Amino acid sequence: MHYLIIGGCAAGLNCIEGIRKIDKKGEITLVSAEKFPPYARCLITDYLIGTHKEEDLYLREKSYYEKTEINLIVGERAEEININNKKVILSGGKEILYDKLLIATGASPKKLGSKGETKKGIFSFRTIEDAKGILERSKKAKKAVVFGGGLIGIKAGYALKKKGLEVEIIVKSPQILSRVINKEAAEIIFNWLENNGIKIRTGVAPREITGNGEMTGVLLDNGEKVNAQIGIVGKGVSSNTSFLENSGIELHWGVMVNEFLQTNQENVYAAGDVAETKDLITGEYTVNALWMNAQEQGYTAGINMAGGEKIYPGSIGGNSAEFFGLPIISFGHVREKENVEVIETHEKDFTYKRFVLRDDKLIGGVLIGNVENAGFYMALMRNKINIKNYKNLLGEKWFNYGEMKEILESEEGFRESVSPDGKKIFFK
Amino acid sequence: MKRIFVDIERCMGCKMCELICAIKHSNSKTLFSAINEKPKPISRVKVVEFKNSSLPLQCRQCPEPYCYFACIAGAIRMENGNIVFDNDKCVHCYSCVMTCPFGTIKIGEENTIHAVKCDLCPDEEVPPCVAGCPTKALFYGEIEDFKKLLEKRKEKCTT
Repeated sequence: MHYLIIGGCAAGLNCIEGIRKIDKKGEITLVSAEKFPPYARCLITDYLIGTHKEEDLYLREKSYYEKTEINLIVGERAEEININNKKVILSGGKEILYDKLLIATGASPKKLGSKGETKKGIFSFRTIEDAKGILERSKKAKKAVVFGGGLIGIKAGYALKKKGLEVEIIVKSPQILSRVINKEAAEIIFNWLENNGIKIRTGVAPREITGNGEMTGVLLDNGEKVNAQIGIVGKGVSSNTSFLENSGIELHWGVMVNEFLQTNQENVYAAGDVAETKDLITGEYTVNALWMNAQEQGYTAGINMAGGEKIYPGSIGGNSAEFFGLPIISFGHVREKENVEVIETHEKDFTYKRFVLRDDKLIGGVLIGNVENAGFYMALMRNKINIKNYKNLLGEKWFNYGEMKEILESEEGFRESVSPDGKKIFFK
Repeated sequence: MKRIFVDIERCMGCKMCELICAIKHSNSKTLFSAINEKPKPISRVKVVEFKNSSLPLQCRQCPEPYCYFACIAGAIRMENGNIVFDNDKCVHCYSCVMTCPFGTIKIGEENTIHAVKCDLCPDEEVPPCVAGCPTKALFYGEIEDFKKLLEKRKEKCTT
């Protein structure tokens, strides 16, 4: 049995874990387009700040790949999949035969779409190489602008601010984190970032990157000009599916997979930012391109590829971060406005909680400042627990697992655990 | 695998386990000095109250843990069935806090803001919180043995 994994990050690595749980002997080959073994992509922020070295980002020790007997091929891209011959052709020309294939080729940053964006000084923020480029450039730069007020943009801005650069975030939408959280929560985070020295401009977009070959500034669509030597593009990502267009594999925004992470081709699976799965809460197909989904999908796909039978209940939206000491967690669908009930508390300046319910079930939440116990709420959301009688307890510190123990214990699910009093419990 | 279990009927909510855990994870390892330590030592167990009962909550060592899947830093690893938390790798993003369905992961104070969770005290034969529980509500071992203990206790009550 030869398992071939194309894509060497969260999903690819955890596919190994899944396969090895069942099949200790089958041959596994992992191909990565990047030059590095699987690494913690989200930590390029910390690499940029300087708290982490390149090796600190590697998710496994070198010996892991020897111990689990993995053929690791780095720096080669999968160019083509030939389903009929069960074959993948790599950028170097090499052809690899497979019995089971995982597509985990991830996603790529979207382009800025403004004039002059190929100038030196403009970067994406997704790979170690990006971070290295930014690091080098930052040595002689005074100011950076970030295009996009999403989590990636804010993380990049945060890192550069920590490095001592002047930072300005340019956001087209009227609020930051517009795809992730509601307006009220975004305002709190906006104020916190500004209090900590990051300038944010909303409702404007870049018209042109100025400079002669090298970026010296940006011209905005309101006519203003901002001087900056670094520009970071954080406009979201799109799944890397273009090489699959004529392969016979069903594509939409991403690679379409069923509840076993299997594509429309029997021996081909997909996981991570390239995979389009059902959203656990809405039941609609979407690409929830997040680290936790990628790891869980890769692991689940691995088990199924090795002959196991593990259902993937669905992907979930959820972001957690800390900026200048302020923890922020959002999960599920917090921007929904129709047919929802919202319960909100705003205790003090930077402490905020929001719960969004539909049909008496939690479909999303935001916690700022005090985030402990967030996972308990996420569990209520995952398992679609009716909390009609508990609404007045939402966000209170005495609302906890104990209170909902019996209800949670009566649920069916896919991930087994054991409650403190020795009862089996399942989560979705 | 061995876990910490609790006989809810015996738990009085005295929070001795919290105190013992905090001392165990302090620098000085004594109550007298631990109280004054900065940052304050953090207990990995939290006694929660509900419906006139109390329950010490600590990491449940899930076989396929959400916290592992969520950790962006590779700070949470699976080793011989135990969930191992590497503080040095933690970048305090709190993704584990976001996903632990039991709500057992806690956050340190200002200058140690990394996340903490019960590690079953691998250097001890029996976790000190279990050993020190004044009502013997806490138990450390296999689930089957815990269930046998509960049965035995029940028998004793009825005879």
